[in-house]
Amino acid sequence: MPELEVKHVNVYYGTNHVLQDISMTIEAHTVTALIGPSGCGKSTFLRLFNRMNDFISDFRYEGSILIQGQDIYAPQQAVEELRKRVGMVFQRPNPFPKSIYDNVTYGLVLQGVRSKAVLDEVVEKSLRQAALWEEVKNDLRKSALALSGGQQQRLCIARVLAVEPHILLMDEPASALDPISTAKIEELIYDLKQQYTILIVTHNMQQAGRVSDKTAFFNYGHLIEYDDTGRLFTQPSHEQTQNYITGRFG
Amino acid sequence: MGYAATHPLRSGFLKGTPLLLALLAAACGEKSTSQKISIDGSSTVFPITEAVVEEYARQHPAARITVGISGTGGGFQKFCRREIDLTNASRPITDREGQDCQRQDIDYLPLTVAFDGLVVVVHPSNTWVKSLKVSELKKMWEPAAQHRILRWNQIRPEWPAAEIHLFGAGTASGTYDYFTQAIVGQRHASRGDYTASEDDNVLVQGVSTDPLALGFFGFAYYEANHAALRLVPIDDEQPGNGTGPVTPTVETVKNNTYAPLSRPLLLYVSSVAARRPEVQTFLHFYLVQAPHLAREVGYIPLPATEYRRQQTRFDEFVAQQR
Amino acid sequence: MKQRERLIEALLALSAGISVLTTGGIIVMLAVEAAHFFRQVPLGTFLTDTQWTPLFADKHFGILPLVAGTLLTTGVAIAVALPLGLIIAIYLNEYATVGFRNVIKPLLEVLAAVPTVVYGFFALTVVTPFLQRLIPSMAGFNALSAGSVMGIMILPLVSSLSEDALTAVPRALREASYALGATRLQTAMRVVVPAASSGITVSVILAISRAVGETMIVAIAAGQEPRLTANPLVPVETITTYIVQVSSGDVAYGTLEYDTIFAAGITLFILTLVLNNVGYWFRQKFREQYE
Repeated sequence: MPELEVKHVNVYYGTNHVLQDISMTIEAHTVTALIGPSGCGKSTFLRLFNRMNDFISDFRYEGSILIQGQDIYAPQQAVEELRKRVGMVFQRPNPFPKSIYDNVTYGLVLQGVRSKAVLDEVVEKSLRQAALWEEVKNDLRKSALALSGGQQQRLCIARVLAVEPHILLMDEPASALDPISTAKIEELIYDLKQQYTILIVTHNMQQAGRVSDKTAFFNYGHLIEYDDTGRLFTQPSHEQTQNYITGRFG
Repeated sequence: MGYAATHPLRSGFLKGTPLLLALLAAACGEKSTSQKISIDGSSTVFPITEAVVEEYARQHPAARITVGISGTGGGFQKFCRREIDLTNASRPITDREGQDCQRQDIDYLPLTVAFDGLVVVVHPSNTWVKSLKVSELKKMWEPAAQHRILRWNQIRPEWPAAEIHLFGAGTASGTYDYFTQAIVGQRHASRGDYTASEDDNVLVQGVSTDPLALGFFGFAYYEANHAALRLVPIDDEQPGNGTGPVTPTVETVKNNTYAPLSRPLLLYVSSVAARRPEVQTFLHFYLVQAPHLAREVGYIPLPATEYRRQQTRFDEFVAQQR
Repeated sequence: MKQRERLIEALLALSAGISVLTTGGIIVMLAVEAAHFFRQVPLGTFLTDTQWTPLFADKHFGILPLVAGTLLTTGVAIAVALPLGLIIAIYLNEYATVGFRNVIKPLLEVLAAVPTVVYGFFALTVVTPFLQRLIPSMAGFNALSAGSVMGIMILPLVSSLSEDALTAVPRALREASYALGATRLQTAMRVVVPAASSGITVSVILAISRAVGETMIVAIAAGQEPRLTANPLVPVETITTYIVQVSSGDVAYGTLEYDTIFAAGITLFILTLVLNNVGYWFRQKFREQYE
């Protein structure tokens, strides 16, 4: 069974038809890059999987999205439970104005975990996974806002990993960072693939080429092309794709 | 019906505002300035004067009479500065206040219009106070009690150890002067840590809503709110004046066995005002109406012969001014 | 044309000048009259004596009972206004639909438009009898009832300033919380409110300053007995009530008794001045954080 199945999904904001009849299948432990020009619907698509679009008042949705065969828009699906399984990293680092420690434990504390031993262990494990442990292990009580942008973003990743999701959604996670931090995040994505299924929105073609197994190209609300990353970048089957990856628009 | 019942919530800080009983003359086209009479002074005497003014206005629509409440002391001040024509007083004028008047070349005449009893009251749910001796009241209210006598059992050991909440007239009122003179033995001497208000309605409100309260104010205010208060009989410890505690009633005030907390209510008229015919008309009316209106607002009228004597004294005073 | 401009400019400057002059005049008057008072009563006595009985035989000039009464009624008001105001702000900001917000916000503002004298009688005739049914030992004049109603009065101030603070919390923080599986309530309580805490603190400081200076409600419903107590069930007297009581009475101008109101007034002035400045300072700090 595929990890993710998207079947004939249509999304509207009011009368605006922002995603049109999208279908695709994503296997577990892969990295899928979502690319396309601004406003093509790729971020909206990403946010379908943890139902972050639900906050938009005139959001409407048709079709079905299955995670391990379960419809995540089914009425009996608790949104909070879904979001524990599907973590998200945002475009700009958004740590809470709390300590590093409290940022990482946030999700677990919400779930009622109080044991200090458990929390300590999770903090170390998550920060190690996010390749931040060595830099902050002596400053866990320091405010997260005191960290650099790249460190903050890795902290946000650690914060998501602490909840142990299956799927990681990343919305241009490196766009606000310098090249060195970006490289660290990319490395991280490569490591995390062993345990997680990752969807990443990016504007950076090289990045998509470096980190992803598959790439989906969106334009004007349509899924134009979805293929192995190598093939999509070297032999795109659509002219639109060709134009986009060679930088003629977008 | 008493004044307090109609305005049970007027608070102390509003007392400086003269209560304007605007009796408009417009309809008759008479010169209103000549018909204007201004009265001020004691809040204790206010209800009876107000009742007379209302009655008078019904029969003399041209009259414009204002009645303020500045307290007896405040009333005398204005009276001797010629700011007002008549002043309500719940105690006689003092020598010092008299001198102020003389300096302004004002002669005056006090008219007794009714009797008032000061009542000592507690909350209806108070089960322990059956009566009070004057010495006990003194212990409660004298300056030495300040910050020392704070609990009921300090008055009588068998009473509860609960806090005592005191309510009484403010220092500008004649009632305060009168009470301190009668109970403490020295005018203007009392403790200061109690709820002091020139407005008896504040005191009624305070005692009637506080199970640990004890307060004093004029008989009229008790009459108007008797359901919410309990009267305390007073023992003046003077065997010549009836033994044991005496409850204030019309009878005991009139025959003076309710001592020392009953007193005459006074209306002072100035020599200047007495020359004016409309003041003469008004005061004649006042003394004729006083017996039944006094009772209506909760005071105790003088005997009928006494009212006739007041009329005569006033006529003589007017005659002297010519 | 040019002359007209200049005339208008002069008029504007004059209007601004009047407000400054008035403030200056008040400060000078307070200081001069209070100086009279402090020539006769040492500052130490004023600040440490636990009794306030300037009009009576055994005279004491300790401001503490009045300050205690003021802080007690204010404390009760804040205890009512802070949680209620915060709940309203959270509800409006995190839960309510736009339509509901548009209805409820003007209604809240109406609370601020009610004359304080009306609040005072409401406290005395409605709230006090109601509370007495729950607490039979409560006195008719008390800090609890007056303070609670004062809390309702300052509710719009607390809720609207708190709401501004909550709105200023970046959307990204909320999203981060939701994305980790938090409910709306968890997000509000664990992320939004803590992040807005400095703004909420400002709203509370300004509300305290407003409550400290409030006069009518406490004069009507809290009592007129200066009492150094923390018990909200007995009559107390606030600084403002005392000033009103004396200035409307027959205390002769120029006497020590009369000067007490200026000593009380300057105490109140300093108290609110300090609070407003702390609030202003906090607000500046809090603005820097997000801009």
